[in-house]
Amino acid sequence: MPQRPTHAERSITASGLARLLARLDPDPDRAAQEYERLRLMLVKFFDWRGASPPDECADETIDRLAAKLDVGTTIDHVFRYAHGIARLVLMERARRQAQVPIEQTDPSRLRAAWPVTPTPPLRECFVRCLAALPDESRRLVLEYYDGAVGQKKIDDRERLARALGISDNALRSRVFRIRHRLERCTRACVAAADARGLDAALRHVTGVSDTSDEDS
Amino acid sequence: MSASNAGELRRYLLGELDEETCAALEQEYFARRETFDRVWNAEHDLIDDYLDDRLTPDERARFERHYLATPDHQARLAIARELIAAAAASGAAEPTTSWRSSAGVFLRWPTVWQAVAVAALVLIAVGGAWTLRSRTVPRTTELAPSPSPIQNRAGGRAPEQSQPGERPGEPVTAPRAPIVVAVSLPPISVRGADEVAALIIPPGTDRVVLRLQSEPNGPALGRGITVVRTVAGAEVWRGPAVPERGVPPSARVEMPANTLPPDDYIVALFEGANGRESEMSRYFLRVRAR
Repeated sequence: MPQRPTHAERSITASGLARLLARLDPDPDRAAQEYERLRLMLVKFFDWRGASPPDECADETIDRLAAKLDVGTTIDHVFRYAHGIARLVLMERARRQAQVPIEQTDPSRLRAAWPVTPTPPLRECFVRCLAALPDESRRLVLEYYDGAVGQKKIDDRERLARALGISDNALRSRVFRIRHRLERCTRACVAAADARGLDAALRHVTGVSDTSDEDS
Repeated sequence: MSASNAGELRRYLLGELDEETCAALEQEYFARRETFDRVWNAEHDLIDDYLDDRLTPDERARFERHYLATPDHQARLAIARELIAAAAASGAAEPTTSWRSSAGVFLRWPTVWQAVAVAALVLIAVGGAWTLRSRTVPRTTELAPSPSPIQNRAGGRAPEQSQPGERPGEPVTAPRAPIVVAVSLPPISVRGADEVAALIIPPGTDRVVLRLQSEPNGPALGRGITVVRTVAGAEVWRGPAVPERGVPPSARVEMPANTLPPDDYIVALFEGANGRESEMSRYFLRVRAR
């Protein structure tokens, strides 16, 4: 069963989630994978559109989608339908938040959350998450970004792809997935450090899964 | 629209597409996973290009105004920066310590030691990258093997230097000239030098002067703030940087010598004021005992 955040505002019911999963795929395992894929797409949609927090927006979209299924709405293509709902959520959020045009936003305030110079929690969390990656993943991502420049960088990456027996694009995608996991781990650790202190946050970074949802 | 057009994907991420085109692209990536992956990859490429300074001036400005307007994107950039530094560190360490052959041993270490080791690599990386890349730049020329390069030999006080231990009202009896050592540092981004030179601070040294060179072909440095951290991330000093004329232009930073015990340091130079500082350059400083 896919994991869901426990936002107090969530309105999805157990039966609604079950119906959504069944609609995504009759096989429970594949349905769970499809659910995670849908949620990831929604999170990235809101992320790319600058809606914050993207996770919360994605969950709201899924809740509405499940509610539509609950009332028997005919949906031919779940993902496309979800996109339609997501656009509505985006517009509603934009109206609710009375968005300040980006160009008028104070850059110093924008930078405040994540300063250019890494703060100790960020650096320590990153280091811990990097160490927690499976060895192969860590080695791959470090080799991919090994500091070479220009043609040498291109040659090195081609060599790396050949050594792994995959295409350049497949290598790139694989590395970006690892990078995403690293980012997710680091951000969760930083958030935990804010809430419970750095030591407690670091203790909870024990491993960064190599079989995350988006790889399926 | 065609999702195969990398330029269009980039424009989408930079918020430059009209709503209709955005919606068409989104419909496509919700329907086809390959398109979704392409957009996501384009985002990673965009961040990498920003960090490698490969964006056009317009793209760069747009990236900073639009893309970095959300905390999530700021976080993504900060983490990407860390990753690149870590990778440079592992590459720099390879000739002497094989990452591959050491991995098994490394992974058997307790997690806390793994973290400490990776932390050291991450930060040494910055210096390592400079080491490997700075072949066209002469090595530091002002490294001071003895406390003399800008020592005030006339016995007077250098204009902006304070006297350690001096207090108002106390009689001044033959003040000792402060002993100062100075070193010029090229920015980490400069390619060239074969090795990182070490600064030796002899006992009795009062002040250390760093001359932080500007980026090649970059603008002259203005007044700013300098932050010195150990490679482990501990801030040891921060203070003003004053522009100096010369070739290349540089910023002068002066600090008490006792703030720099033997260690490896990352020096970051910021310009701006009132909370609007932005990092201009980073430098690697290695201090060693005689």
